[in-house]
Amino acid sequence: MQRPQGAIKSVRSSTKHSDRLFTLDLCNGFCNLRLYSYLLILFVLPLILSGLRGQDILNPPLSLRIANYEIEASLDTREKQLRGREIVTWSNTDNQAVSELRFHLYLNGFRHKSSSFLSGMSRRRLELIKEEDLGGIDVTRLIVNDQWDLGDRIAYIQPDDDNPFDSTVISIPLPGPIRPGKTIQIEIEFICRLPRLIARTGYQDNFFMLGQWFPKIGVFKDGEWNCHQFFRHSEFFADFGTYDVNITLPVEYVVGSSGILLREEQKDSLKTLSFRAEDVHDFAFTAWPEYRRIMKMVNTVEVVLLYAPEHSAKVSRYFDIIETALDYTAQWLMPYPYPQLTIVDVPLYAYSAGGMEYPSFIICGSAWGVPESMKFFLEEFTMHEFLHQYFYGILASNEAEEPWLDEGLTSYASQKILSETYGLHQSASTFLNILVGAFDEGKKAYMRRPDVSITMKSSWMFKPGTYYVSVYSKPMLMLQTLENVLGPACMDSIMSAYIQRWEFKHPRTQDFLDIVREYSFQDMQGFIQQALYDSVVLDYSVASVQQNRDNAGTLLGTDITVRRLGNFTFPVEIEYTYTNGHAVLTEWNGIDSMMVLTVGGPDPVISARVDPGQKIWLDVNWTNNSFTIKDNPQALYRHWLKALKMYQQILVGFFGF
Amino acid sequence: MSIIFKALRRIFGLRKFILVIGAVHTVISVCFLLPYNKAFRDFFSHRQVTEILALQNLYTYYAEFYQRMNEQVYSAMTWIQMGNLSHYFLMAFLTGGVISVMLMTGAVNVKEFYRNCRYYSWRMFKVAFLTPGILIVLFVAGVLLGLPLILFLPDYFGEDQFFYFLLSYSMVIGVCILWGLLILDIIKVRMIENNEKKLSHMLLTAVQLFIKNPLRLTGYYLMMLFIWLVFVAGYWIFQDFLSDRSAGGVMVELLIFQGIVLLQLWIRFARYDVIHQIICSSDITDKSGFHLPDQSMHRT
Repeated sequence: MQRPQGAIKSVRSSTKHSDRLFTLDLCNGFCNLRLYSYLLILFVLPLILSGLRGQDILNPPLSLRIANYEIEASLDTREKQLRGREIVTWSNTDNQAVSELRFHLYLNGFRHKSSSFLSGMSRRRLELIKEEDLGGIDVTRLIVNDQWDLGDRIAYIQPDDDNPFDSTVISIPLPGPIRPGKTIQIEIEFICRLPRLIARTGYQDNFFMLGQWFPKIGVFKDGEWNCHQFFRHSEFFADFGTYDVNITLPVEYVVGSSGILLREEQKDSLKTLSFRAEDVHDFAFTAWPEYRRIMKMVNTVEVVLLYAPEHSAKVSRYFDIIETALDYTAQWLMPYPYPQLTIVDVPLYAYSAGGMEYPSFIICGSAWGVPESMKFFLEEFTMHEFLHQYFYGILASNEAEEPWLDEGLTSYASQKILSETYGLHQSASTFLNILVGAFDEGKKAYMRRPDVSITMKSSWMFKPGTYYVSVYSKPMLMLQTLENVLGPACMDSIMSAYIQRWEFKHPRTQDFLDIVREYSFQDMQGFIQQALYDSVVLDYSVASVQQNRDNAGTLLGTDITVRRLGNFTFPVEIEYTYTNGHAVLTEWNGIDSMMVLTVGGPDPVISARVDPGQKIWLDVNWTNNSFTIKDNPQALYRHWLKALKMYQQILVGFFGF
Repeated sequence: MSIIFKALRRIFGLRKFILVIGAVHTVISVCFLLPYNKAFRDFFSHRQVTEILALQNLYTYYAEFYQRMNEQVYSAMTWIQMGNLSHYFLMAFLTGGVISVMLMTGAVNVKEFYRNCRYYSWRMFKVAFLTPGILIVLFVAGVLLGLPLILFLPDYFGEDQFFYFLLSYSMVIGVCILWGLLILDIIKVRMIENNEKKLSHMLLTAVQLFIKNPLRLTGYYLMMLFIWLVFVAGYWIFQDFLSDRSAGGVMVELLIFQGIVLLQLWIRFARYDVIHQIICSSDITDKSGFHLPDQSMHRT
């Protein structure tokens, strides 16, 4: 499919403000529209896309397409309800027969305050949720292969925690087995009562974000269903397939979703939008009358941005960062495989909808007036959600059982790109001249609670307050350390091999470790084992540098004492420097709790550093990595002066009577 | 503007007392900041990262410092809060002296200044205790007065509109707080001018004085606030140019900042004279005149 390069389209589904928006875009100076490309996209693209109905967009298919959905959904924006009907065409690709079906009803996580999802929230937060703001999903009809009406056989099950209040998984015993290789069709009718925005799902006034809104079949593998309940931290795992989704809703709503829009039909005050997504494992959409919509071709990807009107000044920042991301990942990992990417910039009042990823659909957020120097609010956010397209979207690891494979790798990859684009210690913020790097934020979170939990456990096993550190920060720092030790070239090979070998195949942790082993020139398995499967802390320190002299004052040698303060063992480099500035690098295996390095000779050593290149980001305290006999009092004085000035100013300003 | 220049000139005449107040201010700052600086020194001494810290404002190392020295930093914060409180009451003590000397026509030495400080100290402390109460009341009044602004918000409002709404709302609250500060300053001036001990009476008088002449008082008071803010902002913007990293450079910067503090005190004390002039020049003034604690101090 040929698309004009660099062209921008700015349209709104509602015709009400289209003129205003066009003027707005011109005024922004962002579009710099060329009339011919605008007209080309406006008229030719819908024709091309309308011809795609019933045809494959991605040919040949990228995945096995085990679970394929055709969904008709009608959103009642006044009652905050959605009525849906889906036909799931599902193939048993396992070598064992299936005697029951299992479906996720994720929306039921918000049905009851004692559900496994909501009971995982803090009591204080839970108290703020009113009963009338809860939501849920009911399956009203379920027919298999047009012959078995199994609606009355549906049973709620709780395979993970036996919580009787949880209704996020249903089991449907089948009248007969489905043999390996067979395909069935399951027709389901359902009604969703949407919750007020919670965990990126639901409504806020006339804003809608629908994620995990339809009954979704589990994964059948090795003779059993992998269909976990919905917990506070657990995310998703599903088979790839195609999604043909028709959504009916009031005409004034602007919609963004996974996949591409094939056509739009209007009838009275309602419109029906037809979407198709291929080789994906989920489908989500958002609807809000106030969205502005703008489109731009970036390489071969049609990037659609839906943004809150007051964020129009942020549009160029979104496109800049996504262009950086698409270019970088195309070189580093693999080109983004889908024809379209939809980015949603949510308004501040619906901010809790932001920070989520679905296939070819990411939900970000920013705020009016946030300066460019605060990159963590837009660039970092967008980059992170975009990188999920690879680790959550294309690889589709089991996020419920091994969440680090998505969040950890995504965090590492996004922070790496940001660091290389904006600078290691400047990629998150330079606001008020305080330099914050994207990795620095992760390091801060990790060093506050480094031993709180192991990383390798299922998402529902994490205690409150331990998930982020264990699943995001720690693996991110582990991978950054790995890159520093093995070198960027080696790490790049590992990452690209991992993505390209396992695309659309649901890799596990062992698959990643196998690739690390294959590409590493040194054995890193011990390091990874400690980082992922243990909660030990890594902290090496230079305790002292002591010059030994005889009675006459002649220098005999210098003792450098290096300590291992944590139980994490890792070989470290030690650098000591003579008074003349000459530096010597040596290595210590780091196994013992202490090592005294004696440097003989008449030349005095004045300082020593462990891990001088700051390769080990898992080290919880970098400050104690160095020791110098020749202190730098000016640095302390400057800090004192800075603190004194601040304090004196506060006293004069606020306590000056 | 002549009122402001006159006030600045008159307060400049009290420079030796401002110098004393500045010295007190510096001593308090240094003393109560010591625990924090000690924690910083304990953590960073003999560590090479101090060199990096001196060059760049790196979040990671500060994060490590606050993480590892949490206990010491927490205890240092308690000291800092004690410093705030001590400074507040010491300034209340000294302000009585400054206003009384300002109202006198002759030369006054430091000893007499101290006697005046002592004489008015209890009254000033009472005002100091009253200050948070009055400010809270006026804050609440500002919140209530600003409520009708909600009516100007459209059905759907973006963050930009909400920002301007909040800005307007905070301006309403800010003006109320400013009036509170103004009334408190009128109380201080009138209390010394009339040698009045009864705070409630003075509060009533101050409110009456303010109600009779609100625009002039608010305008000049705002002007004084503006001059001070511009001066402070100007210094903090241009302070980066004073970034000599040697020990001598640090000393020079420290001295310059002490000068800046003195200038700030000068501008801030001038507001009392502005209030005094406005009150005196208007026909609403109570003609009872200025009563000194001790007539022997009155030199002509």
